[in-house]
Amino acid sequence: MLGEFEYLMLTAAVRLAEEAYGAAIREQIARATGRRCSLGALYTTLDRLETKGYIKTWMGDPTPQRGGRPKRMVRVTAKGVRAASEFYAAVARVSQGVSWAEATPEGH
Amino acid sequence: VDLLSRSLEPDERDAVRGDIEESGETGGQALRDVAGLVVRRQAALWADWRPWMALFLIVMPLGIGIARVAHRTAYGSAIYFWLYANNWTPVYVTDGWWRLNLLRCVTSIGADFLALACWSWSIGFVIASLSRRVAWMNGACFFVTLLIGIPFGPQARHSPWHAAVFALPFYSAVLPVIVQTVLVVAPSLWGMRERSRWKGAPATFWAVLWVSLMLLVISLPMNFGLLAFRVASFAGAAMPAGLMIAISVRRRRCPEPHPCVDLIKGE
Repeated sequence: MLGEFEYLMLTAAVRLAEEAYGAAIREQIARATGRRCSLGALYTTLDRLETKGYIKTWMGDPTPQRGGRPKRMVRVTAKGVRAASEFYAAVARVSQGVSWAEATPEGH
Repeated sequence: VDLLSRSLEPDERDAVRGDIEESGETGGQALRDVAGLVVRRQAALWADWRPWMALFLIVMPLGIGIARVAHRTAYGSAIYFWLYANNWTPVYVTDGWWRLNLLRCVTSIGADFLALACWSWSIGFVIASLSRRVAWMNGACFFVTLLIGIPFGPQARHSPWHAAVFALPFYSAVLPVIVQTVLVVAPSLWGMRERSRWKGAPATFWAVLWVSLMLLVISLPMNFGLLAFRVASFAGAAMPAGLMIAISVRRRRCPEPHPCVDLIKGE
């Protein structure tokens, strides 16, 4: 089963499609969660996802706005899509019938 | 950021530096980000048993060993430095017998210093060869071992004959630190740097390097005063650096695939 950060990363990569690479994924996650995503978390998670076979990465062409440095491009594999949809389905199932707006914390 | 990111793999370093450039992060933020990634990468590497084995069986014993040799060399030379500095007279240079004595002393101390520097160079080379990815950490551990060796190293000889020498803080404390800095730290850093520049070291070189370091280990409990032993240890210590210089000169004169390079079979 995927971790929540892995799910966020796969979702951002699918959304970005051909433009999925380190900095763009990072920005997407920061925008969606409202929290900064560190480079360490980003690149170690990319490695983990690639080891599991959920994504494929390769070095893209160098671009001038990056000081002539290449991007680490990301593409989600069919296995990654399956894992992400299973994670989403599990979250949807477990959330069914729960309303967070009405829920009260224990002890209140 | 540039220095820190050097410990990353080349592809990852480029991608990370590009991401930082693109996101327009400031110096402090970029430094935190790269440091975070480097720490995570190092932590992952050290989760394996092999770097630990290399650290405890090679890096630290070599650090302790060379620290002991450095102290022994420093204390041995301190006696002669003190002797000549406190009893200096022009006779040492004008008189033939005394001049020969002085020359013998200078040659002996010079050979000891050179041997120490060569051994340190070899150690630096070996440490950088163990694993490129953990080389920074191994290097840092080696220097920490040397630092620890300063207060816990062999103390100045307590023979009554040398009491006057080692009563002076310069000979008992400052000189060992100078020797360790100039003849151990600097050459080992140079050796590490040479390893990263010198690709495809021949098998002969590796054999000589390990023999030299084994000589260092064997020499630790021995009597350093024996001339034959000193000559042997000097030759052993100087061999790897000498061979590397010879191979580099040969390669420069006859770029591969010239047949003369095959004189020493490479990797």
